[in-house]
Amino acid sequence: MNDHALTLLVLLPAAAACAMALVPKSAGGAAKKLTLATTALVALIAWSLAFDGRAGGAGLSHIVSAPWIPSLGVQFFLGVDGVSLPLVILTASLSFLAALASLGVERHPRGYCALLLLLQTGMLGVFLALDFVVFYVFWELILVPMYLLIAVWGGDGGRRAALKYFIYTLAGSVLMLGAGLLLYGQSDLTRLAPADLAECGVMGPDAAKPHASGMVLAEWLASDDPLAERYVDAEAAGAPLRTFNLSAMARLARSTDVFTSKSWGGHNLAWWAFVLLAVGLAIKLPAVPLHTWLPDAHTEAPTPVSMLLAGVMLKLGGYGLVRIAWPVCPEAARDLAFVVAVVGVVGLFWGALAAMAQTDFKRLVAYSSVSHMGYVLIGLAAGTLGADAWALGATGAVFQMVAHGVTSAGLFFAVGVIYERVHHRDLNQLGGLMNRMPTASGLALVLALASLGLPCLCGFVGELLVLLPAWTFNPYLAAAAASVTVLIAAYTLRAVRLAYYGPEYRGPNGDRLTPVTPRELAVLIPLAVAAVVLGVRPGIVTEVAEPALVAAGQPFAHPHPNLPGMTPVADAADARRTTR
Amino acid sequence: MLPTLVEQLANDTAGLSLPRSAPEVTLVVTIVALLLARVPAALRRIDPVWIALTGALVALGCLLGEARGGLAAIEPVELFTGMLRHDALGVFSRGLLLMFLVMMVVLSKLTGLASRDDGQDFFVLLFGATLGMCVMCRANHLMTVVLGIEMASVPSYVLVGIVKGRRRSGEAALKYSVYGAAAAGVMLYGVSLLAGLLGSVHLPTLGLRLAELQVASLAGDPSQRGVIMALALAGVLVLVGMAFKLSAAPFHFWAPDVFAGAPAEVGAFLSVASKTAALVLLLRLVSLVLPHGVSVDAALPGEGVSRLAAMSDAGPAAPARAFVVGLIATAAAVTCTLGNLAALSQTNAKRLLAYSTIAHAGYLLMPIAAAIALAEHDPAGASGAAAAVMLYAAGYLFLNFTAFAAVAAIRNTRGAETIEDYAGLIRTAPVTAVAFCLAMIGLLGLPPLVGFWGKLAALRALVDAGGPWMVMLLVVAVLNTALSLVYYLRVVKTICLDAPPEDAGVERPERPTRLLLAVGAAPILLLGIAPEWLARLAGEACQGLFG
Repeated sequence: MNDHALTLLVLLPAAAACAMALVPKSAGGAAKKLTLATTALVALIAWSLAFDGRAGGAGLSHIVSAPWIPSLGVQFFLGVDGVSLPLVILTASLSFLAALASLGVERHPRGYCALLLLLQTGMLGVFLALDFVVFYVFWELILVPMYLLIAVWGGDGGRRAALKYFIYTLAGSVLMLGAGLLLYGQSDLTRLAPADLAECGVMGPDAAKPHASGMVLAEWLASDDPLAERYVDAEAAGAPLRTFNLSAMARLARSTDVFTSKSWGGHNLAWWAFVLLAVGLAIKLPAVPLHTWLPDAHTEAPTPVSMLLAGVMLKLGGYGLVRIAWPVCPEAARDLAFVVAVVGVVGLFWGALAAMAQTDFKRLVAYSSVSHMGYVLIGLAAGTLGADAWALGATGAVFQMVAHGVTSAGLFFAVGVIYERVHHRDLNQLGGLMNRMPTASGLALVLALASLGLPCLCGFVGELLVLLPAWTFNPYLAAAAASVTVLIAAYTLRAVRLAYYGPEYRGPNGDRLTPVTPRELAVLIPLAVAAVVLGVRPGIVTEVAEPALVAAGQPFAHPHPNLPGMTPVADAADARRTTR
Repeated sequence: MLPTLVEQLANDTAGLSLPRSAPEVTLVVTIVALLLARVPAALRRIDPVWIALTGALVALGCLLGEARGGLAAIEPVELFTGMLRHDALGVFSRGLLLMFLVMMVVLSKLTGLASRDDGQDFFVLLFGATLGMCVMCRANHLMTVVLGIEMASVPSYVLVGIVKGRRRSGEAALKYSVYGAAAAGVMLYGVSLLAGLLGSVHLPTLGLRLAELQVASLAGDPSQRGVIMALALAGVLVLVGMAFKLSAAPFHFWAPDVFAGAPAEVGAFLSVASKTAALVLLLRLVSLVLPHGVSVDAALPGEGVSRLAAMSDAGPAAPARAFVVGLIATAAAVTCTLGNLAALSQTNAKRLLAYSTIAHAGYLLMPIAAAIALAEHDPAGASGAAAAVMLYAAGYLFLNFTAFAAVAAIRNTRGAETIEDYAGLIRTAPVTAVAFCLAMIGLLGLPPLVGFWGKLAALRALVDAGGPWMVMLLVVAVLNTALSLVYYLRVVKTICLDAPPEDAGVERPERPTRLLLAVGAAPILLLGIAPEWLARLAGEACQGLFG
């Protein structure tokens, strides 16, 4: 039986977006309240997933599986595991806070709310989808609402920034589509063992439960599932049965050689798919040098949209890497780990140096996002060394994503609070805000310190978990990555000093610096609390994510099959050689 | 002797063929009725649109009658002593054409192209062209191939110039007819070469002869090189004719001028109906003439089977097949890229849509190349690739209809056809604007709109076929999708973001036009969310096409 909590999670915002058409044009307030109520409900459902005791293990739970387009082999297949659960909760909560922050939007509120809700459907769908095509559909669903939100409701340069965002992201996603199709073209469900078939949800939601009553292959084949019929046909004809099922693809990569057929340029198919996936997802992450859309888009977007952009959108790229690229193409991930790590370190430096040079507070936070996402790449690259490294590196990467989601969303909102009052974001003209609005400034300070990685706040844990395996992977890179923390501290503290400290505010519109409103506090406080809680007790995320990550990272647990007996460090050196 | 022959003919015609050609007969009757209704003064007061609409709806009804038991239940039969072929693909594609005809009749009435006084001219030409396209969709004989193309083309030339007294229109019509005549001549030459070399004009027989010819062994024999060259030439010339109808490179030059000169409604007809018919005809040619293992085995008993079985598993016509795959794949890649690149700098909406049409011809040719490549070993896969073509074409029908209908509606209210003039349309004419934007984003191929599923099916077919050609096509298709974003999004941006001109008053089209736009645009979204119905129908239509 399907558990429809996830369907509800995905379709509720979309339904509310459609309902916006029924709201009368003059009732902008009603539209915003409806949005707030919907996002609150979605957040409740998302949190309830964590507490019903089923989600969060190594396997999938809450599976929804229904034939959507059997003719094209597309299954409406949603599920949640330890990797996606924290991100789903993050998305649902941030969407609620963004809706709260949007209560002040005055321009075309109905359209704004409808687009925001569609955006939420897209984001949640990406984290929940387990079928490549469904994943892609949700991924692309984000594009148009985001484009319009930045272009219509954004700043003066919003149109240019939105166009740039659209072009970069679409280019990335078509590369991803190409990779997905290449993998699809080699996949073959008939090669999987019955147990694997059951676990990756091919046999329907019941068989995938950890203690399923033993629904065996024969029983499934006898059922009237269209997929089962095609399985029988394929088996009889000796033909392959292609699949878009991401979980099944990962298992195929682990237990069969379907993806390792030789192809062009001396590399196998999985290698090419990995390159396409990595480049496509790196645009969204974003990784230097494909990041240039980000500062523009973040700076021009309205505050609530910036929160979602930084808090959730960047995680889509990282999530795609963890969910698809690494598990489905483990060999290639290991081969190219050094390149990935270098890109990560370069991104760290680049983002940090660029952030130091900014005078626009929002742009500074945007560049700090570029910098922080470098840790995700380093963690994943280092994780290819072995089981322990993977457990640390990948968990660190996921934790870093969650932590950054909390801090960057909070910082963007804090900037928005200032901007709404004084209508500029120039750091050189700010200052003294600590005296004028102490509560907001204090909360922003907590978030800024969390972002720079102060121990006991959430930014620290991700960095530490990532850097631990990085030492074994390549000490030079690890040293470089660790030294960036100095830069991060420098630009964060500079921003804090310029904006919040100083004797008094001397910039324009000083008379409008009113104390923070309860609505703004309602957004800031939960984020600041989350930053502290995640820093003090990181286990609430890592303990959930680790089992699923370990299961997904099984290919990295074994030494390099082609080069038996090599030590991890030599392995990394080998990777460097092959990539040169 | 003679009486039996006559009796057989009569039986074949009256008992078998005519009942299965009811839609075509209806079209003919409607044409005659439209013309005759002009003669008596009493009937002259009837608006021709009612006759046309009734005719189109009855034709569509007859076709639905043919598809009563489901597409899968339709047994392929040859009609009119082998001239036409009645099968699921024919029913499906004619269904698309006739449905489109109904939409066209309504559109041309609402936008004022077909007025009370000279509506007859327009509708007669429209119905005549559709009749030709229906013949193209069912062609089973080189003669009906040529006949269908000519029947579809000649009225189209006149349709392009239907608005009298406009120099651009006249120029476009002349250009189209000169190009068209040249292409038809070239194709006719190819057809005559084929018929002469293989000694038949019946498409399935051509396939058998080609299999018997043993192209693979001929190719190794220097004395037979002439035959091979002539065959290759025949193939190229026939494909040239098809490329012209599809507006595929390098025979696409007519399209932008013709689309820009013709009224937008005619543009919709040319870009959708004409292209769908040409695609189906191309599918027929490649599935019937290029022999594939299964049908040859079945058709050549005894000696033939052993001879074929003794050959390598490369099939009897592998070189011919590889040759055609190469030709079509190259044409597809070039068409797609050229169309998208040229569209980037267009300022006129109709020219932009013309280049977009060219680009889509490229995407549509890709799965055909895959189908030919797959037919060698995997007939089911090849039929799947053909189904991808039909799914794409069906989605494309709604997308392009909506786009051109919106262009026509805006022409009537704003009197302009350049993209700049669409500024701020979302505020002054929201229904038109939303429909237009949906069409643009659908043409771009973003999910969850219908254009994406056609594209996904097409790319899937490429992956199924595999091999260097197909990977090249996959790369080209993916990169082109990203490229096409720029110009489709520019239209959306102008409509949604730019400020409307100062003097823009109330410029909503009338209610019926808005309704038609909504009816055209709704399937873009609905079929995008639930495409299974259409995908299954397309799959059933193409089942068994490649044996």
